[in-house]
Amino acid sequence: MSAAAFVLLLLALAVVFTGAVRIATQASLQLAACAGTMIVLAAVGACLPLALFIGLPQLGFIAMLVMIGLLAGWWGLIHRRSAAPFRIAWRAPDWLDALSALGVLCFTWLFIGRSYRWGGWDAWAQWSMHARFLVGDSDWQALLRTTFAHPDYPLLHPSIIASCWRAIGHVEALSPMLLSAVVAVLLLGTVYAALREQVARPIAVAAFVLLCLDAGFAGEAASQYADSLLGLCMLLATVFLCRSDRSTASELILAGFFSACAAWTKNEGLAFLAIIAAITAWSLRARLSAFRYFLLGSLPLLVPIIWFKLAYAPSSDLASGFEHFWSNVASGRRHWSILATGFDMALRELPFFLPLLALVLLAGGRGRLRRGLVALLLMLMVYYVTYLLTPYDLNWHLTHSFNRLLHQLQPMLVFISFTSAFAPQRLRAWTGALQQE
Amino acid sequence: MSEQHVDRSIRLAGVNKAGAVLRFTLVVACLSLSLILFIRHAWSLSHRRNALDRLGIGLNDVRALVPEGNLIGFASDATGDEQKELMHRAQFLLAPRVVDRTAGTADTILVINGDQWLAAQPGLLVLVDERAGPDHIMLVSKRASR
Repeated sequence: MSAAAFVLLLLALAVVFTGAVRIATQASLQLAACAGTMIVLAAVGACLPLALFIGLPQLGFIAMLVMIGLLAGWWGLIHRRSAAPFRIAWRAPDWLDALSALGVLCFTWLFIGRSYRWGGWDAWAQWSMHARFLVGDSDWQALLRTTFAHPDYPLLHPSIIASCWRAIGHVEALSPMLLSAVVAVLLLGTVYAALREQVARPIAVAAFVLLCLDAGFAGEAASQYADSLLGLCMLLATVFLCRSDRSTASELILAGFFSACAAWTKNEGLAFLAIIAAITAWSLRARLSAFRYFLLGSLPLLVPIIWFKLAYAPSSDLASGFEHFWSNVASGRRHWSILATGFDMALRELPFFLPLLALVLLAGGRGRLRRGLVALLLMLMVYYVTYLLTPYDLNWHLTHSFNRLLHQLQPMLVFISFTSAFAPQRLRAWTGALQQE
Repeated sequence: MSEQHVDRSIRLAGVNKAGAVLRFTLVVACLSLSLILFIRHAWSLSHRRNALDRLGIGLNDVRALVPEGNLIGFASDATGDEQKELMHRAQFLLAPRVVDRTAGTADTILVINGDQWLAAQPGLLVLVDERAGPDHIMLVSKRASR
């Protein structure tokens, strides 16, 4: 398949999935477009490995993509009531639009200043390197023998890059960079669109501009690592889980789907999937049968995850950390190192992270937002325990990865903190308290 | 409506119109400039070559000699982080061939900046001898020497 045909297929799929998400959830066009585009990326990242697993690399891959698109289009046509899913209400730009556009310009400037050919170390030494194994039709399993390059890592990110290289016909440095740019745009767009549904527009624009001006965020987004993609999956899962008090079937399906996307992006995502599944089950305890929608949504991605992890992937290098479990847990020095280095790196590299965390803890994420807040805190706990048990030198491991872990959670934190603190009912409560004083 | 009010309304309408034009211009200018900057960056990034690419060109002959999926041993005089980086670069560039972290049991061994290592291994047959920038790339065969 030529590059142009592949791009056209992806665009067609993005339109179909945007419409399907909009029809199913009544989400805004912006949010539906971000979710729809992520579904296309996930479809590409799941279909290529599945096609390789069953031994039909090219034919199987394209056939699966086309079939998924036809199914989603058919579903959309049946449930479509009008042309509303794609109707755009044009209006003259106001000052908030001008401010957002300035934010986009600043972000572009920060992004390209930090974007390099082949990306940072992990980008070429792991993600793009894994992608190189997926380009050929026969020898992808040789990847599992690259013992020093984490062959157990999930394949969503490398599969997307490999699909582009397959369409182009050769390996080049532009595809990983373009993927990182698309993911950055989707992150910013999702944060704005999701907040726009929950809070007043100036607040959503403030959060958008805050992220645009964060050089740390731009640097991580430009690094071509899979952490931004993981952050996007986590954000979308949280957005659909926290969208309404009584989650609808469509929202649960999408929350399950994006949680499973996270699990197919990085091993941390497996922990996220387990946490979100537990939180969803707990929040649905009065009508537990609705949990089947979450499972249904996660199923398309669970198939390649389970297949890869059971049939191919070697055990994770971090698993050997359990050998010294008790001595590591009892070591006060390790606890202190994690906390001290963690705070120091958060302040230096992602300066908005701790103030936003304080804001969300102060506002106390009520009702449906509590699900997102609990997920965020549990993920921080998972990271803490991972560092506590790491078989690597603790300081080396912390300084080489902690900023990336915070980057994964940052978009989710911005969404939860701004929604918790500035939701209309919260603003009314605060204004009332001030008037009483 | 008095004449004063009419004048004020006209002035306000003028200010509003000028504001709208300014906002529209600002939005279009910022978004266009962002797009231009990004396309320029993408263009230069896809055409500029770095150390990784230069090493990649040097490894072309190695790629031609070693079939995909095969194991290649690795040796270098470099140590520590420098050795680790060379090995990762070689793995990235040679995939889907697998680079072993040591010379190990592989029949062919990729030697990057390893003249001293090679001098200590007499009798190995040199298949490729290439210079890629500051890096000296050699592919040697153990089997062919026997």
